[in-house]
Amino acid sequence: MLDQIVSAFEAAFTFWNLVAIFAGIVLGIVIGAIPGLGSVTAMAVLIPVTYYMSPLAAIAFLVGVNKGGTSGGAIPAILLNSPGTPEAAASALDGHPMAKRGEAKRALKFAIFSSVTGDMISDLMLIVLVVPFAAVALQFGPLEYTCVLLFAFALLAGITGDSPLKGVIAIFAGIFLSTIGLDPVHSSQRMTFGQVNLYDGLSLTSLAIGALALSAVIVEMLGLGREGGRESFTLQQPRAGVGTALPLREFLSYWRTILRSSMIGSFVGMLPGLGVTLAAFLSYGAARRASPNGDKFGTGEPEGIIATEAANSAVVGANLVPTIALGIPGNIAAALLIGALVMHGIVPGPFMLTMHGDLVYGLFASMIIANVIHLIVGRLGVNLWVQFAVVPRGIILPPVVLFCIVGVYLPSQSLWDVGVMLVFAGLGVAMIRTGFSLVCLVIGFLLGDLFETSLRQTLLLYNGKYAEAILSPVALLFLALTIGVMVRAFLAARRSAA
Amino acid sequence: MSGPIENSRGVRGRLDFLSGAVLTAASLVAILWLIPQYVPGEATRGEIAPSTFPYITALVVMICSIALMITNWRNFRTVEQSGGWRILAELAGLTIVAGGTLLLIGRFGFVSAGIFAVVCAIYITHYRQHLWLLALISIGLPFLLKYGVWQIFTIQLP
Repeated sequence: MLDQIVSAFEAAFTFWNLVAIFAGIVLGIVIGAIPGLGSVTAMAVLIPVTYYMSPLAAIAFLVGVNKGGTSGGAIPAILLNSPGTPEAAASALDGHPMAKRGEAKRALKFAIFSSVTGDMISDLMLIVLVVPFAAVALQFGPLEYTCVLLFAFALLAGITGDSPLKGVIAIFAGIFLSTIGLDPVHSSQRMTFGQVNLYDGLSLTSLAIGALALSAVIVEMLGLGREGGRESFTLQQPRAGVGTALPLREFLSYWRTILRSSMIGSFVGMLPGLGVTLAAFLSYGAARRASPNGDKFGTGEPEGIIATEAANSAVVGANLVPTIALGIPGNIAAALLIGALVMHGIVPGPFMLTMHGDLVYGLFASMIIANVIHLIVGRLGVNLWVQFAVVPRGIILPPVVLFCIVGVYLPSQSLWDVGVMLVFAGLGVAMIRTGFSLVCLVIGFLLGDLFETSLRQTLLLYNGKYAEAILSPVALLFLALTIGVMVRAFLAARRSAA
Repeated sequence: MSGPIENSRGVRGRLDFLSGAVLTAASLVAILWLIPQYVPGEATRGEIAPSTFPYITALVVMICSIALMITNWRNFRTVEQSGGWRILAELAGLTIVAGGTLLLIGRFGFVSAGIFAVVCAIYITHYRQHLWLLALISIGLPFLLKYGVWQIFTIQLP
């Protein structure tokens, strides 16, 4: 074990790996700080760049982008009361009142310290838990895998968006899209229309960049256009000398909130489908109930920032537990990481630890190093990040369209993929406008192949004797959980509609 | 993120009904024409036919879309406005821009398409301050990207 840790840190401590982590964190913070963009957009646009890196540097770079982007979202939330991402909305509740009191810098320091601490705790949980999880997953047969996937879909559909029905539609539409191309068993063509470009199916990079990044940017641009191109926020400038100091002792005095929020974030991150936003708001609510200053939440209470930032950053590490152990992404950022792994010829899942153990342990070491770099970069660059948050969206958003086109063209050098991206950008805008979850669509598309293979293997294995399936307690457990989650989601949707 | 019109519950319900109708029609097209026409339906050696899984997924989408229509039927009858036409108009505009960009890349290369795409994006945002900077971005960035991509990745953009 000690040998593995030493060699992992050796692999992670190379010059180019450190450069990749540093660049990922800086780009993540910068893009996360720009209202209207966010860590998911940053990851989607930057995935193609990783094609030219070694697998470890590529994954470390994207993890850095995710870490930086998650904490970067707090900057516009605190300074402009304009959270760039939904999960940062809870940071604005107490961060912005602090900024209005002139304590903007202190609020930003609370945010970055909590973010890094939550991240570190979650990374350690990942390192401890991933091996036992993978060991259990190795015992799973096709039936168990099918049921686990159904459970993940139910969680996704039940939590994401305003209606579980729309969630299920989006997931199965994504799965349907994944069937385009050559059949995984017979290699016969399915809906290819004789197009060679479709033999490998639709490209994940085109779909992800089009549906997640470009569509979000277009919707932002349309929103800005509706407001007549005017920005509707004012910057609360950090004032020199006023409430800038944050002694370590003061930060650590909130250790209960830090620990509780990190645990909430890690737990939410480990369950497939539950997102960062849920972790942030669950943690904020729990901190408010537990704190003696609960009634002051929303008026500039540092505990509010700590609870939100520690929880949403804790999701980043923990969502790699199901990603590495099962090959099932914890959230959309993990789904994009799976896409990057596949691009480098690595199939996530329980065999990843045995087949690519060096890479996995190197990734763990890179994540620990990334936390240290994140702390230094985030702390020293506070004044700089503020400048990115105030660049008008009218200047930032149009060039992103070009970055999306170049990002899709780079790996395949195919105009076909650019066309597919533009189609999915249009579909993404329509889905955002009509309230269908893009996350469900992309995760459905990503897991479609795995779902089809395990379902077909299950059907062949039992060959009509489906009563024998009852003998698998794991499958039964996940099937019961799936039904429970869906029933609960439908009842909740009905209550809110009444 | 929705537009201001789509946020009220009744209007959202009407929009859900219309979305359900469009998706039901789309899944019917998939079940009745696309899959039978473009996916082999015969299984070999006791295997499951390649068309089984696409049929299952299209069927699930169709059933859920019909359920979406049924649950929002009341809103469809009582609410008059849904913002559906505005969404269609936006999509039509985006299709024209996307088509134009693709056409320009294919015919004249990345730089002209890039300038076109950025100018369209600037027009959509209605942001009219710092016009000199926007002009510089729309013309300079495509050239810069073409040059940068060649220097860093040795890939020639079209």
